[in-house]
Amino acid sequence: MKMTGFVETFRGNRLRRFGVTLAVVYCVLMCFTTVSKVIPVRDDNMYISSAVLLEEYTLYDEFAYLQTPYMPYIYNAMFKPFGYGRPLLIGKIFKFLLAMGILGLTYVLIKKLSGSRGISLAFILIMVNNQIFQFNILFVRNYDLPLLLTLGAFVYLLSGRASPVWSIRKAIVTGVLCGFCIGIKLTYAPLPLVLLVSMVHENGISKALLRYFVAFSISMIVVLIPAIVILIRVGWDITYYNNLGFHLLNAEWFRELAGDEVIATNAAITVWEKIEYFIFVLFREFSNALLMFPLLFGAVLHRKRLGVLLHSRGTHFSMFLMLFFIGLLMFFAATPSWHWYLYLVTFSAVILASVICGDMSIELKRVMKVIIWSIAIILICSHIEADIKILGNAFKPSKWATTQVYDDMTALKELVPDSVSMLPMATVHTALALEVGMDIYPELACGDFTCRTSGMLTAEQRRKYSIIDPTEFDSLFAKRPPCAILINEQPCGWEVPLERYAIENGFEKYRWMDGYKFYVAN
Amino acid sequence: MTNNRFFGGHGGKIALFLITVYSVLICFSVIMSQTYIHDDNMYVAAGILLAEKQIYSDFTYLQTPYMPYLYNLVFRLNDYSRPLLVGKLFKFFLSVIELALIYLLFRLLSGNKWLSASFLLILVNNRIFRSIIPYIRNYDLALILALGAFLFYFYRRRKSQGRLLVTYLITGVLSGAAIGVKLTYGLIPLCFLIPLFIEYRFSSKSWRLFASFISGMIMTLIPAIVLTLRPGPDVGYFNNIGYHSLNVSWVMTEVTESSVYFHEKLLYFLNIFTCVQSNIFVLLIFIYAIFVSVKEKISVRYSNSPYPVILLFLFAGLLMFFLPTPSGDGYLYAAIPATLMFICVLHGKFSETGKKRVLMLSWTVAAVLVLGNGALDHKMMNTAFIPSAWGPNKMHESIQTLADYIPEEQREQPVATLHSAVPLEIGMNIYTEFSSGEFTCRIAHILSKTELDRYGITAPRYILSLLGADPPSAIIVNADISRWEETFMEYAETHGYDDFYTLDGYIFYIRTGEQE
Repeated sequence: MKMTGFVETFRGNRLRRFGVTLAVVYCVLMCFTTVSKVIPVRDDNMYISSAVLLEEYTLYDEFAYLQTPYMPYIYNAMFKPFGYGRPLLIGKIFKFLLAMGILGLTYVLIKKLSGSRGISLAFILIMVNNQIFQFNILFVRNYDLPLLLTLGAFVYLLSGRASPVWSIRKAIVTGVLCGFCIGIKLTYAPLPLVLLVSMVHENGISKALLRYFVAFSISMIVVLIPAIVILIRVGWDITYYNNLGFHLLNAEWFRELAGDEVIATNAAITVWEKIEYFIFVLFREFSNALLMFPLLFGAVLHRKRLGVLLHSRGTHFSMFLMLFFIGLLMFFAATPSWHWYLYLVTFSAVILASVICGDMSIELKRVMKVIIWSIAIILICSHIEADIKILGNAFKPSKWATTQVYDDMTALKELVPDSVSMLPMATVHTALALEVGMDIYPELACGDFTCRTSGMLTAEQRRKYSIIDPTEFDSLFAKRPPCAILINEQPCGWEVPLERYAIENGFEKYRWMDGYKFYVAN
Repeated sequence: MTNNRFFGGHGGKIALFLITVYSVLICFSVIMSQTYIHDDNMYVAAGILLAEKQIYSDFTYLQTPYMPYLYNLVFRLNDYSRPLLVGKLFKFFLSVIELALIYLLFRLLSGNKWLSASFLLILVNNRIFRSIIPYIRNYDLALILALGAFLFYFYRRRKSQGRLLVTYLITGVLSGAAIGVKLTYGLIPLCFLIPLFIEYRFSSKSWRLFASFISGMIMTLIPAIVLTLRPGPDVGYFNNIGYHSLNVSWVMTEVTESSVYFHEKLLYFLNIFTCVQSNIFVLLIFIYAIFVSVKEKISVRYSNSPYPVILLFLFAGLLMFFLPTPSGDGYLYAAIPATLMFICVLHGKFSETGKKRVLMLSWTVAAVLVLGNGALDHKMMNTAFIPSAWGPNKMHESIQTLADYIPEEQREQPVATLHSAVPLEIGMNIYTEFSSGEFTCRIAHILSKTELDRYGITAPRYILSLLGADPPSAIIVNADISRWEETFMEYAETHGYDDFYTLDGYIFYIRTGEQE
């Protein structure tokens, strides 16, 4: 009898181990497919350009970067060992590692909070199939690293003894991580509030709270000092423009164009549109609705304990609820709102659901397990056909979108005569030029972001912010002509002067991969 | 939830009233926001042509015959004018009846009005339900008759065991009527007959009840059989089965992406239930109900129990998807309510805790679906109160403006088009040969001239001679012209017709000048 029990346990463990290995392999593969998917969009241009330009130019002073300053330095550190070759590919591999890190930390955090390996694994499978997660990990941007650091802060905070959670060391480390988050992305500025909620909740108004608060604040400020120095060095005006001013102008640009049907269907500008868009994205798109579902169902199932949970110290429900609200703030405060701004909301929803699961009885937890695993399996099935096709390409580097971009750009680079090859390429798709080591104009480092709104600034302001208006291309090129011009197949407003310049100056036109036109100087 | 003071008292009544109003409003908005699709042509045309012609012998109708007679009755009420609008209003009426029957069945099977109300919300927000109700076809009536049969059967079986003969007779009548409306409902009698033999074995009682059911069914099917056989068995066979077999070969050779083979159907089925939010949630509740059944070791009674009947209805609903080729998601129209009914049956057997949790799950699902669709529904509901924004009204206005250009003396001439609902909407005549729209054109090239004449259809190769013998007052083709419409266009261009584009994506050829 005992022997049978042992064999069954062994079998059960082996089966479980096999299942876990399979799930981990699945997650790794799914994240790895990001390396092979999608050619760059406009966001990648700014991050890749700023990281490469940092080698010779000064951030903010000599080229615009419309975020807080740390991310370009991190990307620069990634690109430098490879001599700034293939930055898009390296950026994507880095994103793959970040995605793995995010999933790993989420798993640890959920396991800690729910007290169930099964629930945490199922949530990771749900996350990896989530539309917002899949979208965000595709691009070389600054969305993932702050999330990873945030999750890291929570994992560290909740590690070790269950109570008390806070210690001086934890306050310092979480302060450092918070500081980094803000230095990478300004929208994480309210994050310290989340940790303060937990601090106050555990310690009340006491000397201990003061100690932790001081340790937390000092460490955060210390980490932010380099950012502050960079910003002070370039002056208030440039700091304001890059971190806030541009975003207000961008909102204004969208508001002006809201009548345009194309823009109106994609961008949520007014509060009502944002609410409508929020509901649409979270509850209509099935992978998001299924991600939110465990939280909603868990709250309904455990509704009588929610009040207790909110006031209980050990569960950290209030802290993660605050995180959820800050995620909402990130979405609603930005204009226009886009679905990828709900990144933090999706993670905090999953974390909150696991907190609720952690407080449930074994029986209720089993109910949640069935629901969460059913959702995970449904989601895997929903993607399986497409995933198999994508995975086929993921193991063939020649089929990766980044490789195709590199091959095509190399072929185009060879068309550029040697006599002009040292000149920069004029394009707002700067990541493409940099992928094959071509120079770009620092004035176009932010791609089309700054071109959109440059008309709202005076010439003096533009010079100060190191950006350019499309009407000024001729004078820019008079000083330093381009060796080639790369524009969209259907040029947008700010690309029209580029095409006009190419035609007037006898550039030779080539068709490139779908969606682009390439002009080369003779 | 039922014990809650609010839901137990007036609050409960108000909540149920609001759910009813919401469901009715959604049905109305969904129906009125749509214009029409090519399927409507055959039903609208058959409904109107019946006023003067014989079904099957004078014009094709590729289904069992009852639906056009009902549409004919409805259209007649408005003197055959505005059939699209009238048809849509009738569809609204049918969808309300359908929802009422479904709610009553849910309630009868689960014994819980709140579970039934949440399932009603889930159904109203289901994509398959919403994709079927707007169009003038035969899906709803067949389902209504089948649901009526189930409701009557369960209600009578619960009330008394005494008059079983009458119960089976009426159930047979309703099942027969469903078959007379849509042949795939031929599976429905099995849902009653198999449990009958499980319950009474092969006793004399079971044979008596069987005979009663079959007599009821035959009684309602006799007119259909007469109508089908009157023009000759070959014509009846072509309209009910033959065409559909030919359509399969057309799909296999011409359509690149379709679910023809079983594995393709299975993948498509998987896709429907894992990629469409509203279906995923039905699946989720189903999985959970199965889990509770296993956990609570629910024992199923086969005799005098709704369990085998509803289980067979679920199988029948699934077969209605898997049997036709190619499969379409609309073919799951019966399977969705059948799944929810099956959950209701299981729910009735759960422990109090199990019941409460399924109820919570279904309400959370309902809330997510109402919220998720709400982002678009509120816009759709706004237009429901503006008659000028209704799909059929917009279409009518657009085509009426163009039809006014047709010279008075030509207005009696038929309009040549595969979109027969369009000219019929403004009271113009059509060629009976095109009454089934593009359906018959797809396969006409496979048939000989004798067969074409026998079935009352024509092939693109004979269109020029047909139009030459009886010139059309106008020609309507799709702006994105299909290959069967090329001959129409050729005729229009060589016979001096002027082209006008409508807002709905059609080209109207009108002969405003002298004929060449």
